[in-house]
Amino acid sequence: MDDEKLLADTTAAILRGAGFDAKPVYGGWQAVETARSFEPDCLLTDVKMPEMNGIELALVISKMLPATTIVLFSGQAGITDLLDDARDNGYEFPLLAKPVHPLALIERLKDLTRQK
Amino acid sequence: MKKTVLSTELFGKESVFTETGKNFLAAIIASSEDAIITKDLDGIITSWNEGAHRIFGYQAEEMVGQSIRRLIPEELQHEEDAILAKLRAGERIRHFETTRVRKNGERFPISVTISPVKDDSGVIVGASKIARDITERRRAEENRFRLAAIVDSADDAIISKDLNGIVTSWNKGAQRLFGYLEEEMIGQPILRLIPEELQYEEKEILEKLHAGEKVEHYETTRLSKNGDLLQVSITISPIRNDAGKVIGASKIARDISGRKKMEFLLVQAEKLAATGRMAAAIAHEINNPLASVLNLIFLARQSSASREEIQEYLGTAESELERVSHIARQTLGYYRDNASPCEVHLHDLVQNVLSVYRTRLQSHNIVLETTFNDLRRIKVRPGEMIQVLSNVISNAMDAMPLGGSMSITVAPTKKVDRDGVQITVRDTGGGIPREHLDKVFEPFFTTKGNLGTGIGLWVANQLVQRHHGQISISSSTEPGASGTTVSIYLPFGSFEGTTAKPNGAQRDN
Repeated sequence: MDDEKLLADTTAAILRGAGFDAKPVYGGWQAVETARSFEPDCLLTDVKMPEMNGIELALVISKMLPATTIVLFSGQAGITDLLDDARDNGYEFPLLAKPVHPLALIERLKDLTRQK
Repeated sequence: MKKTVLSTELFGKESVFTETGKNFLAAIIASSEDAIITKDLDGIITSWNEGAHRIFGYQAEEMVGQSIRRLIPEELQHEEDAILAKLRAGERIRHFETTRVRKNGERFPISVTISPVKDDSGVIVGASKIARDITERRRAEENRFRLAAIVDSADDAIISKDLNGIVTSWNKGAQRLFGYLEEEMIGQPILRLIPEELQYEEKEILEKLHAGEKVEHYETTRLSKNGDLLQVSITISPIRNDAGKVIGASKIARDISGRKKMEFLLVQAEKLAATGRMAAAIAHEINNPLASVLNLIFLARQSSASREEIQEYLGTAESELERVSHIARQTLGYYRDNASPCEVHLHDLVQNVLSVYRTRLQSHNIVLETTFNDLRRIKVRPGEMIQVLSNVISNAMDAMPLGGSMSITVAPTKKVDRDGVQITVRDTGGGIPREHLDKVFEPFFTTKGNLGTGIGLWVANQLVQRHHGQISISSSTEPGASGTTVSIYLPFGSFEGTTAKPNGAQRDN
């Protein structure tokens, strides 16, 4: 999930190529709607987005689908405050820094889903 | 008739003076401001003029025939013994300052001159005493000493000069600040303290003084004895004589080198912080396309990709990289050469800042409206102006967390007879309360809680002033019509060697 459509699309294409069933979405509300029916094992989401930021989305999805693993994906350092807020609320999400090499991303996601 | 009686009392029937001469003397004595009293060698008063009446309060009838000791306080009675002894020896007592008592019991300072009076044969028969009430003089002296003590104990340099710029007084503070001793500076031109390139200031100051105007808290540079340049704040006020004519000036100078240094450090700190904020915004803008490029190259390298797909992936990657280099050019490029002024269109700088904040504007649902009408380039330090603009624009964004509209206009303008460019940034946020509006340009004042440093606008003001421009703010908190407008005026030719007067920020409501 990324409001940068190109990034969401290419990431989904790469993950499909790696054997994942990946769906790109481009906004928080769309992500919630899609997740309801799609019930993903994993949600990879950007942090700085309009309407709903990645952490707000992560909190909504965690409550809705507790089994879903959530990974944050951000290109900006200044989001530690947001992460701290989430931690205070009892949620801790792994964070990947943009840009990340596709192979590293695939490895990370495989690790996270294998843990289950 | 009284005069004749008095002259008889004074000079005796067998005086050497003619009757007319005696009358003259009697008239002088009667009209004297001073007390003029005569007494014999036993201290018994033999004459008492009108001045004596005014000063001591006794009438002549009350005093003639009485001992002069009546006027002397108890503890000073011994003085009279000494005076009489001296008189008998033919000595004169000049300007003897002591204390006497008035009829109403009031004690007061007095200056007396007592001379022996001889008869025709040269024998001392008595004394004349001229006494002056010096209460007023003492009071004036005390005032003067007190003022002098205040001036000397002041930390500030306090100097007076005449209208030709010649130093007429020099306190200890001036000695500490400038290093010259009082005797080195009195009678010397004040220009000695002014660096050569600032000597025109003295002419302007003297012109103002001639017009009776005051110069307040003027911040400038002065030269100390050992050649150090001092940052000082000076206040100069005209000194007038009794007739109201300006005859000179007093000058109070305060060393503000420490404050200036602190301000400089704060500006540097805010520049760093602003650069940091800018860098964070730039990072977001650059990392997204970089992430896409990595993905696209990865996809293009996959063996399953068709030739057309590879072309498409690489083409998209190329345009993403162009986007990155555009952002880098627009933003980072200006930060590099921020010291040297160069000619730019101000709207280009506005757009550079907006290109960084574009996503933030969108995500905050802020509608942007721009009107650019500045055809002429203006010489500025682009890095500094970008900082000013990014401060003002990000303030406007912060004022509208729930969305709104921001309008930015850049247009030519004329102010104080100087052509320039005016940038206006208007938001429809909640506005700034009137009591805060006065403080927004002060350092460490913030309405953003922990998120603000409180020096953004203060630094913006400093930077605009360095361009000899003006930044002003107006705001309304009225529901439905609230918002804040920041106007920045920059004159043309600020870096052409002209010297504009420093101007503070202005606030209006």
